[in-house]
Amino acid sequence: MAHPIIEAQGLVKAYGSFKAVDDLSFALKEGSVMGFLGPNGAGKSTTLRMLVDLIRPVSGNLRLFGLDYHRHRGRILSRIGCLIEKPDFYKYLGALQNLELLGRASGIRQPRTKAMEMLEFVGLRGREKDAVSSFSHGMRQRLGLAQCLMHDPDLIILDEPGTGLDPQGIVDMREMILKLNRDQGKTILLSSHHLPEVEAVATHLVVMNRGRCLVQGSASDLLSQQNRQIRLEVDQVKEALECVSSLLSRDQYRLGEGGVLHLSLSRDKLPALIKTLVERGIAVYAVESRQQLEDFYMLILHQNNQE
Amino acid sequence: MKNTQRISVGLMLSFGFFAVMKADANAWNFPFCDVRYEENYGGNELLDNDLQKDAERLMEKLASRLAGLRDLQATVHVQADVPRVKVRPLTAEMFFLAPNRFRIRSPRLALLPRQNPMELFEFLKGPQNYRALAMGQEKVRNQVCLVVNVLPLDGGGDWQLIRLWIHSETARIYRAEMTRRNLGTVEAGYFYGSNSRTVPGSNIHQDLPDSLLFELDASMMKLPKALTADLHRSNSQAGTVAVRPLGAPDGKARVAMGFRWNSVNNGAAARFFGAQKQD
Amino acid sequence: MWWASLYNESIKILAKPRSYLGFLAITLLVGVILLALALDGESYLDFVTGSLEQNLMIEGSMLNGHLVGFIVLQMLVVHLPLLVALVTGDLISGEAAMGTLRNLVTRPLSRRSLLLSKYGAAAVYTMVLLIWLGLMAVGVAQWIFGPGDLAVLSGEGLQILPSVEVMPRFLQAFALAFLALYTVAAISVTFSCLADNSIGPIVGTMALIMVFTLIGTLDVPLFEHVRPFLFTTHMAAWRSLFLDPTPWSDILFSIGVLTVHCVALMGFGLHYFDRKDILT
Repeated sequence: MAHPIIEAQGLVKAYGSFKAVDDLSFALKEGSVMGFLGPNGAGKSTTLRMLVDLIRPVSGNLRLFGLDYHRHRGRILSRIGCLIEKPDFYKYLGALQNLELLGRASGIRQPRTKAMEMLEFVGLRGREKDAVSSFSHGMRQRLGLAQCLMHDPDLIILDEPGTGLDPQGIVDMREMILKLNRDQGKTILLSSHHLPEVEAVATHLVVMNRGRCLVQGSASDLLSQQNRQIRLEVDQVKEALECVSSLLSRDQYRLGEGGVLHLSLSRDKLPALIKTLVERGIAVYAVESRQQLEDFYMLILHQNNQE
Repeated sequence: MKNTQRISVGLMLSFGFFAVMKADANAWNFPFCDVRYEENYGGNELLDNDLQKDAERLMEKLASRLAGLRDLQATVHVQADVPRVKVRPLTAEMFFLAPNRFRIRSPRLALLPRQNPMELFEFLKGPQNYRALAMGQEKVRNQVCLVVNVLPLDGGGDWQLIRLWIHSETARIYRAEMTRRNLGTVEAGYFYGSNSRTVPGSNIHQDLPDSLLFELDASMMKLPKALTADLHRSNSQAGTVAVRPLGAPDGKARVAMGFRWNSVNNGAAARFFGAQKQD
Repeated sequence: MWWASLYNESIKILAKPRSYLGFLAITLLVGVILLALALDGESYLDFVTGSLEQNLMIEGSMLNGHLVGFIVLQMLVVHLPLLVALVTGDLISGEAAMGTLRNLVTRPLSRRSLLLSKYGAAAVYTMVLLIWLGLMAVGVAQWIFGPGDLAVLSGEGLQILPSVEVMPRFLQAFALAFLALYTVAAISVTFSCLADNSIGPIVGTMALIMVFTLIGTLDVPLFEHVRPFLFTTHMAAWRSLFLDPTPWSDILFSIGVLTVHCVALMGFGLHYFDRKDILT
């Protein structure tokens, strides 16, 4: 059984009376890729910053690699690579100098050699002497990944790694994450608003809102437990709504644009619903059944916001 | 009031050097490391002689002897005592070539009186330039001296009045009070000791003084305060410059010069000034 | 790790164009002062010694390399705190503003070591700046004007120091000036820990110097007891090393006050930075 790399229990971070993170507990197992989801202000970045000691929780217990943060900060951080928010570098230095500098700060003995390796890995070889100020956002993002991997960390924390990347860049980034996880066995914590990107790589999920953890667990388990998202196109929308409302609860349906009905129900209830609609003389033009992270996420947030 | 001041200055200059030899790396036999005026003045003593005749005889003797001074080179030890100025004693070289070439060559900054020590001698060389009037007799450093007023005949010249205290027997100048148009009044004490030298051609030994002490008015000497503020030191901490090494009274500055006459009329000064000219 | 971090900090300072502003400013200012003194230095000295020279003459040139060096130092040491704060005030806050502080703090190096390396880099920069000032002020001045006795004008009067004694005193004075300037650097680095923008610590440091200087200058009885313990009171303590005899008790007191300031500021900085949330 894989060991937990991160064990967070009852983490609280407050700024005055505002609690950015409120009693957060979660665990991340070795070798997994955790998608860290939540709307803006949910407390994701605060949590990630706590994981890399940028900010300190006011209460709670945080252990990484089975070690206590207070006593083994150096050992813990030597095994973490992170890219928090946007990739920032010394603009007046070249890419190689930036990496060398960070490598030296990580205790790497031959930072130049390692930096060149990393530049090769992220596809920036040939631009090593160019000042970072001349780099595009995508190039900086790749350089950010390079600095994150410089010291060969066991845990990689990525905060919005796809921001500002073009479609090809997003695909490349996804491939890189998968490669790191599958080929090198790195444990990855990925926070992103780009849900398809998370869905493509995450083995585990944590969804946060208002500083609290709403759900967590294996991605496959979470997605299969939930209702399916049904998209229904009918000719008599009003009658169809009346019919649906008699069969489903209010939070299970909504009327979308163009008279399309969006339903949330388990797979086995769908045939009976279609039959009832047809019996009432309502023509059904199309039925689309989806089970995607985006729907799951929206539903979880919808439910949480209604509480 | 002015008379009182004059008398007090006169008294101070009349009292001799109190020389304390300090251990000196150069073993200079100069008394300027710690010069003090003694305070045990014994009083004036007027003698019943034909003073004017004596004065003329002494002045003639003095002039004829000084006329032999043409080329001098000396090692000079200088110590200055100027209010709010601290300068350490130094040793320099002095050159004099008659009639008016004078230079002190110092490896360091030296504070010297504007009037050089040879100017009085040069003036006194020409009896046709002045008239000597006997004023009486006084004791200077327990030596009976004739007080002579020397009145320059050229009323528009630089020299205004010279009062000399001349030893009645040796015709040495013991003290001088000189008033010049440009420099005001300067007083000087002349001291004779082991470093004194005889002027060639003179039958009186040791006519060139062993040392000289100038006293000048320093009441107008001011240092700009705007440049002197020290934030980090309070006034109570001040005082390192307050030491007066020659015991000069308030408002006065003193410069002491001790001489070792290395060359008298041997052409050393002529060579020096000749080389300077070539440079 | 600390040495590696100090090396990193030195590289960053070297690579930053801002770091050279101080050297450029010193070069220009010293150049202007040297030119002015070479052209009209005697008039400047006449202003100081004019009344003295009514009855006395000064044999030898007062306007020599040592005096020029001293004048330059006296004029520029006032400006050096700004030049030092300009770079050292940016060491933490500049990184916070740029976002690079995140990269550093998430490395295995402890925050205390990181900040200590910043204090170390500030010391190196201050020292190099001071050495440059020394080379320009004393070295170039000696080259142009030649050596000689140093005439120092202080609150106590004019003192003339023999030439052979001047250079050791300059070295001691530079060491003391370094301590004074490092106190400024310690203030600006500590202020830098408190801020997330570059300009705040620089302005804050200069404001503090101005306020303390004002308190030190005002002749108000209330400030009498405070004045000896303000670091600004001892910023010019290096000048005391040119007094004869050297007032060692005053100088030791100045060293004590400045050292206590440095240690206290660094202690506070380390304590604060160790607990600071990095939010940028």
